[in-house]
Amino acid sequence: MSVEDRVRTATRARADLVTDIRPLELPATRPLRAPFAPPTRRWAGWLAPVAAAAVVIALAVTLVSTRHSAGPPPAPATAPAVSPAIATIEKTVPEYYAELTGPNAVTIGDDRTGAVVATVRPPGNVTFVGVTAAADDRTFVLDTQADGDGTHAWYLLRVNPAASNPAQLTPLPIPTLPGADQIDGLALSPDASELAVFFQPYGSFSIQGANKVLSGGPHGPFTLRTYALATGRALRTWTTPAGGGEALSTSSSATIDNEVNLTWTADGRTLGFLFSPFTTPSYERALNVTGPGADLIADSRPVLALTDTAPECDGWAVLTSDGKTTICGINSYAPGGGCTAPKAEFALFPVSTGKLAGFLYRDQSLCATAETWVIWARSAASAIGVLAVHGKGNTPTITVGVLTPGKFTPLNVPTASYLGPEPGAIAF
Amino acid sequence: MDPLTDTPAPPVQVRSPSGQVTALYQAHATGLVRLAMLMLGDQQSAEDVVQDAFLGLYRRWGSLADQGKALTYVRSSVLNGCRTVLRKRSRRLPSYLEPDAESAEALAILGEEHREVLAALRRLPARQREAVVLRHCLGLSEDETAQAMKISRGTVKSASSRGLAALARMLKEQS
Repeated sequence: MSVEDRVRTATRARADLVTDIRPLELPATRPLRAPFAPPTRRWAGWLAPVAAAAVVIALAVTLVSTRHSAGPPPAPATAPAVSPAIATIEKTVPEYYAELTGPNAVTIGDDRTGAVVATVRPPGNVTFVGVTAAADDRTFVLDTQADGDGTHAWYLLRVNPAASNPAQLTPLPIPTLPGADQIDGLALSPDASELAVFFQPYGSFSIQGANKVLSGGPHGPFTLRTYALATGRALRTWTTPAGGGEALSTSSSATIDNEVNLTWTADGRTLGFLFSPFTTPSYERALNVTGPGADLIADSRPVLALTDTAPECDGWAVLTSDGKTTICGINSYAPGGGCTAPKAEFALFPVSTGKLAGFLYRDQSLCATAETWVIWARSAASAIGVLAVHGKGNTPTITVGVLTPGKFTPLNVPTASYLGPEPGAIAF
Repeated sequence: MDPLTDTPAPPVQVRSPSGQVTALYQAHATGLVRLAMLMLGDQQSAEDVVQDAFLGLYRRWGSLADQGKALTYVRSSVLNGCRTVLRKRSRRLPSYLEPDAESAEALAILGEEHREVLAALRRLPARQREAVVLRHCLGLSEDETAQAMKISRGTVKSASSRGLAALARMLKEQS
């Protein structure tokens, strides 16, 4: 029997087991008859030039705290003990993180001590949906989405653990994006001067419960835009060519902001991003933001061909901030807890070759299925990664740790939170 | 007759959007759930994806340029929905590692031979799997497959050819 026949017979046998399906559940409301109209922008007032100028001045003079919560107190004067292993971590690894710990909460924590520095609540009727960090270990930008119309607006979060008010949240003058735009990437430049946003306009969306449901209709091009943080001005925009609007993710989407692992290199000249729309091979790409052009694909270069060269990366990788290496996590597979060939790896692919050059860390002792991914990456010798080990229960044991050659040192980062330690949901 | 369902098209006299979408659902949902189930491996997720696709169709009914192509639209939506589920799963585990993909009952009914083929099918990259399922399992033409996947005919040919070759290798290794 040919392969085609074997496939046809087996799939037909499996498909025939599907007989009873539940009836269609349509909402009581009438269907939408017109394409999505851009919502009223909540921040239209300060988008006006005069108001924008006022915001710039205000930002330049001082950062005003807005509705900082009365949540957990600042770090105690006597910090909790640091484990000997963590004490050996080099100082270049960020100490503070900001994590979305609920739709209405961002927690700032110390990854060495485990202390919660502050918990920040969103101003007004908005939800936190994304976070990104600068390289100073103190500055973050948050993406919020308005309840109802879904409009995206941006906030600066400054952390000063020693201050009486250790977290300050300030609205940024960056133009809002409509609720029907799917934010796929978010990255604050190392010097906190620019915000890069990777997004794709959709035709329409609706809010169903806690989920933003995007329509499956035609999508606009992928767009990568940089903004000046101080003025909110759009600096550069790159888009995919006309007709290149294949979706990264489509209906029922409630994705976290950094689906494409958008990252800056330390010199602020290059943006790394994962480009894997369904109908083209997946690539990690590098875009020189100082170069000419506005074509997201033609003006960027592939640094790792995931589909062809590194399929075991499962379409997921991140460019290190020194711009020299792509790191990807490779999951281990141990069905039933067997130990035939289990491994959980963080693989290194130099940008210069695009070929596997080795492993930052391999855990070959695991007799379990485990997932691996990278949250922050400085170089081929320094990163923060995640190991999620699946035991017998439904919930994996998740550990965030520092990756150095041959070593995984757990950090004091809570992992049983709202979205988990995913890029875009936590930032270092 | 639709090749996905072997079910006659819905009667044309149904006029309201909810009536027309419901009629389409009654005629084609089973076939589309089968398609999604082959892509995803479990019926619950498949039904969710198909429900979402028809809900999206209902919401966009008034703005559809050609309501006669509603099935084409919803078929593409189902594939998109499957891709979203698979992409989200891949952030966690490769699709073939999904522990609850096949119910114990289904596994018991299917023979060893079929289970091996289905397991191999689920290990294919998503695009190859889609092309193989649409072309060789559901019997769509190259044009129909290209339309559903929103790719060129040439890409359909190469994806299904590579998918079959990979399946042959995997099944040979297992035998």
